[in-house]
Amino acid sequence: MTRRLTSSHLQQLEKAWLLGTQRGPPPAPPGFPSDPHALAALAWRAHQLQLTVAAPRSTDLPSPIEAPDDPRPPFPDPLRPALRRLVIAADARSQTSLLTAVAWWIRDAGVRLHPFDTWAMDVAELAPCMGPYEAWVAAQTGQPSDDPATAPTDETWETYGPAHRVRWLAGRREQDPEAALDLLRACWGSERADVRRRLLEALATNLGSYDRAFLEGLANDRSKKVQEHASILLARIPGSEQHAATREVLAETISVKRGLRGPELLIAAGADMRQVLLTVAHFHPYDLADALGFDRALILGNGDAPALCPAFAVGALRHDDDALVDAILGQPATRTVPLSLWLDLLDGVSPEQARSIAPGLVAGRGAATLLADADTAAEWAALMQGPLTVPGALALRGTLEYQAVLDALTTESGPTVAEAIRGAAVLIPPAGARDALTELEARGGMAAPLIQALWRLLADLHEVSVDPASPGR
Amino acid sequence: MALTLDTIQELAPDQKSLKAAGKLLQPAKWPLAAVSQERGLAWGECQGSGSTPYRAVLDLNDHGYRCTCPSRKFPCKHVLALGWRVAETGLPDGTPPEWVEEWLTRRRGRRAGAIPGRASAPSAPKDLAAAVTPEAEPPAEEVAARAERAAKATRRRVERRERAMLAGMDELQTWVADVLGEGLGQFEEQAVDRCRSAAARLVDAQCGGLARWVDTLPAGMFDQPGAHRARWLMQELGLIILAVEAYRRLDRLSPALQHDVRRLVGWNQRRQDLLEDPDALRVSGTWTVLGVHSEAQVDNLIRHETWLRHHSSSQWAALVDHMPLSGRTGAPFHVGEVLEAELVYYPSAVPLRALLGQRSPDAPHAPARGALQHGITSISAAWSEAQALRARLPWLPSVPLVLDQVQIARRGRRFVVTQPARPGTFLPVSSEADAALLALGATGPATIAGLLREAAFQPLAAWSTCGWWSA
Repeated sequence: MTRRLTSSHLQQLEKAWLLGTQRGPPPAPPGFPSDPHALAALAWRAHQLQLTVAAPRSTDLPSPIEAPDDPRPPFPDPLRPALRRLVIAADARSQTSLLTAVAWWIRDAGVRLHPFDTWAMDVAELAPCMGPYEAWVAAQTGQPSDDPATAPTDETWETYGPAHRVRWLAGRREQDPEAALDLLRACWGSERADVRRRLLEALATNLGSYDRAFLEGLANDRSKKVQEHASILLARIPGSEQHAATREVLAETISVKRGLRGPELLIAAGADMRQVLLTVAHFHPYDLADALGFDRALILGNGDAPALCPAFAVGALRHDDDALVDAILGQPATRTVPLSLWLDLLDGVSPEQARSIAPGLVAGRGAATLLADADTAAEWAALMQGPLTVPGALALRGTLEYQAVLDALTTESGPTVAEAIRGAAVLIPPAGARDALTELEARGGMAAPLIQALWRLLADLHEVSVDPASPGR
Repeated sequence: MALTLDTIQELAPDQKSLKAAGKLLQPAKWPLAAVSQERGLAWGECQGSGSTPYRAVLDLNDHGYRCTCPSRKFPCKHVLALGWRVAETGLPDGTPPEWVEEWLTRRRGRRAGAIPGRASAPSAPKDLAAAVTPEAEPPAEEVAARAERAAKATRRRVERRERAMLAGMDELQTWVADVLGEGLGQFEEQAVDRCRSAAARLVDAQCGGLARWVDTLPAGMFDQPGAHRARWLMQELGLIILAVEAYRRLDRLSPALQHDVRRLVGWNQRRQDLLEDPDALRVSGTWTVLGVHSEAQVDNLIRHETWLRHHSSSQWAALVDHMPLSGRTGAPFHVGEVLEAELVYYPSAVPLRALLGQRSPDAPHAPARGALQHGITSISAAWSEAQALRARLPWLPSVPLVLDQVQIARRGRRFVVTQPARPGTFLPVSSEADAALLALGATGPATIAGLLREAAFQPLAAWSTCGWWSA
């Protein structure tokens, strides 16, 4: 005899299964007296549910997803795997530098990221090349952007990623430095050391005496890097111990010498040159001149201490004194400063600031040492802004300069990969990347595979953007 | 630095590694092996015990290396064997594939003086020649006697296991009856402890498959919205009982379904047995990797499920591998990778799980539209197809599908797959606020491949107006 489970039987059984039978055995379907049949009914019901549920339907129609138009051509398809590999390969230490470098070069090449690649990467770092996508992506995924609709507020800024928080906090410092400090103070105790270190960067904007107490409190911070950075910031605040101590050290180290050509600045023999320059680079040059009692005119005439040029230039850059930066870069002494020293000092400023100084720096150096004529120096400067062709020798010369830094990568005291990547992006123009790569590969080194990959990608990208018939297209 | 046999001997961590490498020198063990003299690289795929091969790469200049095997010897036997083959017989020249390029990009700069594989402490003496000296063969009579003893022991072991498993299943049914008696609505609070102890008893009864299933019930249940948990549990327990009842009536099932049920409760089929089975389903040709799903398991293993689709027949296949959670656990293949290979399927009512058999090095590097052809053009038809497959194999966890001319859209906070022509029918997508899905949705209608798990669709890869997309 065939016995069937009716829907009312099923309802009764399901109710019993869900609510229980007060620790008694589960009920069997009517006509099936034994326990095993109770479980068989469960199995049958499970399988029946698999087969009878219909595909979901609704009269409430789904909304289509629409992205904004971007007229720029997409990033070349054949180069996408290399870009993805590069981003995957970068570790936390080098990713910011790497993505920033990539973003600049993509923007300069006049292309937009492939829509399917923007998601795999940190939108904040790629902002320079995102175009109209940035605000849209941010709005869709709950990430911040410069669009007021998605930008952080005093109430929400803590929920964003470190890169956005630093950027936003620096902007907040421009509006109201004390309110921004209060916001930082409120979240400080719960932040990780690396985030605390990055957030301190924002305090450099509109640094003032109101920051002193907070920074002095960081002398006992759990992170040595935070302690060091706080100490550097304090050295720029008049009235602080660090400021006085720094002034004292600099006063002992930097002196004015009366020479045949008039007064010149002189760094004391035996001083730790790197430390002196790093310290000088934190002051506005005029403030330093006033504090140490030397004539401001010597900032542009320190012929016997050319190493002070980049330190003064970076100091002026930090204080947004573009006119003074240009004036320093224009003086002959800058031409004799090794490029590695510039890189070392530029590491202390934001990538945007480093990028802004690069054309002037290269043009200034080019007239005397890099190039045969001044016209090519101007071309070099233009290269930093867009994809033009460049004489191979010129690119090679820049590469050779840069190799001094790469050499240092093989020693413990050399710059980190992150520093070197930023240098690679700032100082090698797109058209020079292929020569830079060739030169680096010819050295047979394994020193910086990430830089090799970066230059290979950027060289390919540049060639595609200047020559549509390139195999990379 | 040229690669010589002396270098291989020096790189080896010990004599055992050299001996193990010596057994991997036959070309048959390497479906894929090549060098690039220009770049100074050698790479290859060596078939291990899993469904996918281990991938080894060696820098011929500085002897840096990488292998995907979980060995704790550095370098492992695969890297040593690869280098050994390069130094002894050489390998054909080729272009480094994507996974080699990725390794190269990931490599960190080395500080001066550091040479991989050369420990500072003096190591025990190693001898390459001794590593390939064959051991003396025992007399033929002894070999036959040993084989007979082994066969008897295996039979006894199988009988013992069969008894233990049936007893374990009895206990499992009692446990399910107890859970039902108490009411599924009450189960949530004690789910983790009770499932863990039931799973432990199933492990003792050598029902590994059922043990894993029961152990993962709480995780699956807590993935459901609160109001649906009891009914979800009811369905899972029902399918477990269905598997137990099917095992008790194994002789009444079709041969293919018998294999499914045996695997489900815990019997494994050895790789070698499957490869040598003349009746096994084999499909050769071009395959594209459409998705890799990796999941940590409670037994400290990570399970990699690699989904492939055949270009001309549109057949799907899943390669399943288990790796130790503590070791290097990268997925064996990259999404979008194209293989020219023969896949051998485990016997099943719905053949999906397979092993990688013969492999040809000549495969295109980029994924092609061909991987997603012959898609289903209606969501209702796709749903029906999934139900038809589940009618044949009720324990099918995922149904792979290719949906043609569909679009990712939004329904409130969730994504759905819709058909522009019939917008009323949709498949819910199993992820929320996924930025990659937004990008795919913004490109308009596309051909989307994915897995239907329960009632939710998980997109794996797609071909759209912007080209190839992967999750």
